[in-house]
This record gives sequence, C-alpha cells and structure tokens, in this order.
Amino acid sequence: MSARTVLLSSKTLLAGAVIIVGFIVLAIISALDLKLLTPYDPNKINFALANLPPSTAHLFGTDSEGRDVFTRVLAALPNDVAIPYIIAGASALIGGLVGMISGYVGGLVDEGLMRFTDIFLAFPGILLALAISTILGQTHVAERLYFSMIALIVVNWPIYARLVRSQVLQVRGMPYITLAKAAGLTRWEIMRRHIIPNILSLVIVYITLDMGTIILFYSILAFFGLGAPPPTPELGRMVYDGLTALPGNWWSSVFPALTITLMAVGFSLFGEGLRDYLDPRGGDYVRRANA
Amino acid sequence: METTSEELTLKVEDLWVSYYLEGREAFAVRDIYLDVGKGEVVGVVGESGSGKSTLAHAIIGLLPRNSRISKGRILFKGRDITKVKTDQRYLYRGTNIFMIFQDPMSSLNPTMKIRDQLQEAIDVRSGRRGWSVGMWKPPKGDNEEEIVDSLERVGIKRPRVIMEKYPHQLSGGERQRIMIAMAYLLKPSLLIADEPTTALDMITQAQVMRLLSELRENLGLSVLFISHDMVLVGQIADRIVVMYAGKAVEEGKAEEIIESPMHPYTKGLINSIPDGYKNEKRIESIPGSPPNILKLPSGCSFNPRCKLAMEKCISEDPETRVLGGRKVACHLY
Repeated sequence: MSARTVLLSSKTLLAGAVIIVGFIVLAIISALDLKLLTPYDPNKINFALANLPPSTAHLFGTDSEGRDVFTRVLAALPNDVAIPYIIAGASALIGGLVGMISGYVGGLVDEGLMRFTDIFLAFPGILLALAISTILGQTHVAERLYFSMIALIVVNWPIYARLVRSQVLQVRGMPYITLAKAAGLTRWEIMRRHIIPNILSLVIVYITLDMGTIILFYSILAFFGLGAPPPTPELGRMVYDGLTALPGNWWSSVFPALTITLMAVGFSLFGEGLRDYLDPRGGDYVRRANA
Repeated sequence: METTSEELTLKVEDLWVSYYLEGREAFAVRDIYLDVGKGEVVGVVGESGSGKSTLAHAIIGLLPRNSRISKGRILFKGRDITKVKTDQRYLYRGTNIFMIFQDPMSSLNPTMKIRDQLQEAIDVRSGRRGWSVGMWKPPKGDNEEEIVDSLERVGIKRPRVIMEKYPHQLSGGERQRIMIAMAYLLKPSLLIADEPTTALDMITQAQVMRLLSELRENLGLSVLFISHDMVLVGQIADRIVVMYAGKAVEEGKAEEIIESPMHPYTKGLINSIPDGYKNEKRIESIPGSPPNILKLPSGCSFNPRCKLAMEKCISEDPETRVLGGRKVACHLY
C-alpha cells in the first residue's frame, strides 16, 4: 500500500500530515530567508508602532515594543519546529537502545537498567526538566537552549526504554524467534531481522503522539526564560512577554500560544491516525466494518 | 552392528536435564542414552510431560532460562556440544541441527514475506551473516530459483505467488510446509521434528509425513521425530524410544516395539490405538495420568499406574536391561 492511499484513508492522518508538513516548510523558508514571508524585521524595536491590534498590515498585531508578532512567530519557527524533533529523536534512540539491551539480555543487566530508569520516572517530568535546566542554565546563559533540550531528553528517554523493553520481552517469547534460533541465527541477527522490525511501527506511533507533549514541555521551559537567549524569538517566551501587556494587548501572547497549540494538535492527529491505521482493533477497523 | 561415535550423527550419554521449580531442582529428563546414526530416523514417544520435548530442546541448545543440563554429554558428530559456550551454540544450529515445531501458526514471523524467511535460511547456510545482511531487500531473482525450487519440493502449488505472501495468508499445512522448505535450504545433518503434525488435520498430517520421508531420502539426513502418537512414529522411524517421566523405559526397532511391546507402559500405549474402522473392541487406556516431576513416586515411576506392579517396583527403580537388541527398564524382565 502506498503512502498516498494510507494518507487518504483517514481524515485525521491527512489533517495531521498537512499541519506537520506545513510547519516544516514554513520553518525551512524562514530559516533560509525571512524576507520571503514578511517585510518586517523580527527584532527591530519601534515604539511608534507599539500595541497595534491585528490588521492587514500586521496580521497578528504588534507587541508592546512595536515588533510585528506574525514576523516574530515566523522567525521563531526554525527553533521551535526543529527542537522537538531533536528531543524526541534523541530520547527514542537512547531509550530504545537501553530498552533493547534490557529486554534482550535480561537478568541482572535488565534489573540494573530498569531501577536506573525508575530514578527518573519517580519525578514529575516537567519539574525535573525545570530543575535541570534552571541549575545548569544559571551559569551558562548562552547555552541555556541546549541545557533545556538535554533536560527534556533526560526526562523522556526512560519512557522509551520502558516501552521498548516491554515490546522486546513480548516479541522475544514468540515461537518464530525460537524457529529463527533453531535456524542458526545469532542473537544480534535475530534482534536486527526479527525483533526491531516488529516493534518499530509501535515506537514510531509513540514518537508521533509524544511530539505534542514535547512541544508543550519545551514551550513551558521557554516560557520561564530557559530557552534560546534573547533577542532570538521563541514562541513560549513570546507568550510570557505578552502577559505584561494583558488585558489590553491580548494578541501578542494569544497568537504565539495558538501556534504552539496548532503544532501539538498536528502531531496528535497524525499519531492517532497512524495508530488507528496500524492497529487492527482500533477505530479504523470499526469504521471499515461500518462502511 | 556396532557403530563408532564418529559415524553417529548424535550420541546422547547419561543426560539429565532439570528445571528450577518452586525453589528446587526437578528433573524432566533422567538418565537418557540415545544414538542417532547417519540417515537414521529415531522416534521418541511419550505422553505430554514425559520429557520428550525437553530432550529435543536440550539437544539443539534451546532450553528455557529456568532449566539446565545438570549431567551428561551430547555428542554431535563426536563433539560434545554441551561444552560449547552459549554465544557459540548458534554454529551448531541451522546447518548442523535444525528443528521444526508443533505450532505452524505462530512459528513464522508475521511481518516477513515467505521469500524473506526462506532467504534467511539461504543466508545462514551460505554464511551471509552480520548486522547489515537483509537490511535492504536482496535484488529480485538473487536466490529466487532456489526458493522456488524448495517450495516446489514441499508440494506448494504456484510457488511464485505464495512466496510473496505473508504467513497469515497461508493455511496451517502450508506454513508447516514452509518450515520443511527451510530444512531443504539449510540442509542440516540432523532434523528434530517436535510434534510437527499435531496441529494439523488428518489429511494434511499424512501429506506432511510423506514430505518428511522425502526430505530424509533426498538429503540423507538423520531425524529425531518426537510425538505422542505411536502410529505416526511407527510410519517413519527406524527405531523407537519410549519415554515415561523423563526416563527411557523401552527402546528397540520400530516394528519390534509395535509388534511385541515389552514394558507395560508401551503395551498400554499400543493398546490405546483405535483399531481402524472395526469398532469391535473397546479402546483400552492407561488409568491415571503421568506424575508431576516435583513428586515422582518411589521406585519405578510407572508403578502407580501399572497393573503388574510388584513390591519390588515400589522399593527399587529398575535398571535398563539389554535383551537382544532391545532395551527395557522393568522388573518383569
């Protein structure tokens, strides 16, 4: 089945894909040349234009320092779109590796690694991330962005380790793994040829669903000033900065917040569509049966 | 005729396999001696829980984590494979010893096409190993002729269509044939067939049995055929070993065992075979059920179910006696 037919099979999947791809395209154009999208400079302060409401000239209005909010949202996209991918990718990679070793080797190694993940899972994720990036970010203001990313990876990887481990354990006990062993494959060949392909789709669905949460978590850190250092625009930070201008100037905080929400919604829709598509017991099955 | 250990494909000596159950060691296989010559088919017969499957898994080195070989030797072509390190055991599987299983429905990977699973057997046989093998699909036609040939040998019609399918699109009989096709591609010296027809209907069962006989003739391999079905084993085996509660109670040529069983347990098994369509006599059965390996009876393990049990059977475990090419462990002889 081609990617085209898969996408068209469900409206949620299609809507999610359009939003995700739309943001990626905008982020790439914005990174290449912002002038292609907007005539304004995202960082130029001009108090003569402060607190202008949304209009055709300023789609999202201007903030209390006279900067165009739409331009700043676009300028923030390269960072805000790329960072969640990096965090999810790194978490899945580290967690996946640990989970596979844990599940496949078993015994004391498994016990040790799982107790280690327990340490991280014992804290509420966002609090741990806030603590890590606050402590590290205080002394290194310029590198704060990276510390925040590391903090979110630290919080996120144990969940992937647990997920992958449980899947490996389940697949490892299947009779076809015994047959592969009887056929003379080594444990690493079995991992590569039989176990990884079987759990990959589930991990991809989980990453997609997790992306929304990561976007929100990263925006929370940025909201508290733990993201990229100013004047680099950042959606979470823009929401915070706009709070001081409330209630008169609502647009300079609400539009960046809506952008964050739209990104998260895109991934949720895509992830749910994907899950329904890949899970025969899910909603898609019922829908097909009713059709 | 005596054969030396070099001519034997498999020689099992004084094998004891234990499970760690409820905090102590319980023996599922006790004191087993077994010879499989080159090209010979040896049948192992016993009820569920007799240890026959544990014996098979011990030979191929795939015992579950809570069990171990506590004593004895398994000589494959004269080499003791119980001494081989776990991470080197794979060298003795596949092209040397291969095993096909009872459950054809779940013994094939549901995410792989039949051609890719058969390609895997070719990869193992030809030493195409490593992390990157199979990462990308082999160019079409790479080993296609060989795969098609193996499917034709196991009686799959339209092999070029079937090989592009996934296991769930095939029937149980077809999947069992795919496993036999794997044996054709691996060309092992010893094939262990662990109840390969139990999950199949009678007609498919007969077809699979014929395929196994053909496989043995074509490749000249040795077969260890494990089943609870005396009739089935009698069709294919040269020699039969009857197991009860982890021990070999009787061993001999297939026709001799079936024509004139000596051990009361073997007699019971043979009497419980339905007598075709005649329906004249009531089918006899052996009263009771096999013992729990955690609480084996004293003396001969079969004594609680044996009609001929004597004082001696409760006090003393019978030794195996050799009587003219037959071996039997019973106080009656």
